[in-house]
Amino acid sequence: MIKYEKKINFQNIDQELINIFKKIESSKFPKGFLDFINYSVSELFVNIKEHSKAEIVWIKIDINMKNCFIEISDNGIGLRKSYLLKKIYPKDDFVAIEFALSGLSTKDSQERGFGLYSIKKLVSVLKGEMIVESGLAKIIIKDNQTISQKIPKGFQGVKTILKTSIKAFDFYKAVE
Amino acid sequence: MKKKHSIAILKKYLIFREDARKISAIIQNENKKERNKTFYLDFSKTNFFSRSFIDEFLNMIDDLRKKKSIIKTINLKPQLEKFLKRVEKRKQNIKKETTF
Repeated sequence: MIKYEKKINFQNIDQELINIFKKIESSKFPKGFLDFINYSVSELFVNIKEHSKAEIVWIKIDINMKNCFIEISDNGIGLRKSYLLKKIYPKDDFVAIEFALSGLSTKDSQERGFGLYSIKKLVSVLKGEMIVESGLAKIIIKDNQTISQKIPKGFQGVKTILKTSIKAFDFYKAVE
Repeated sequence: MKKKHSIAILKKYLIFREDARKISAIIQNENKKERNKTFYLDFSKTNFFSRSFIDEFLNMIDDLRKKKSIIKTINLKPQLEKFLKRVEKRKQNIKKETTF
């Protein structure tokens, strides 16, 4: 249904996101699933734009009749450094990812920081898998279990992968 | 007496916080000319709100309320209205949980 892979210069991410939305909207999905894709992609792009200081963004979307795969990564400063700049001190890259997945914001006001946290909740409702890599850390969330792995060479920036099956669900009930 | 003032939002996708800040700048500019207005934001052309946009948009409504301006939305698509209310409720709950 959708195959999309692109390397994007940071200054073009606004326009590219609109191109992605148009491509996604032209496909038919079960109730709630289009909202899930749009929500996840937009929140990941917002995170990159607001926090990453990246120059390059990579996006890969592969959606067929049954499964959805989304991978978005950047070559920015990574989650830990992003927190450190806001005077929040995760002891390592694993803790930085855990902070982000728990909804701890790098910003000051209320509500902010929901990006990865809410995507994690939605993926869980869809019984899918979420992988976040940053620095030396990789965290895999699947079947309500969290697996931590060390990336020997490390990953500059942040990489997020979402894998779910395509099904109808009540997006507005599931989104926190 | 408050005067009505309608502003058409032309963007189909409202994603980044700066989209809300641009709307805020337009309203603040109008406010300089004449204070104490009710602004009707017409979202008939908008198909998508991101959560970040809504968060900043709600912050903007709060700030403008303190300056005696009222913001109302019109022609919102049902799913956008639902999402706006969801995020608004979540913000209110967080405020309750974090206010002594």
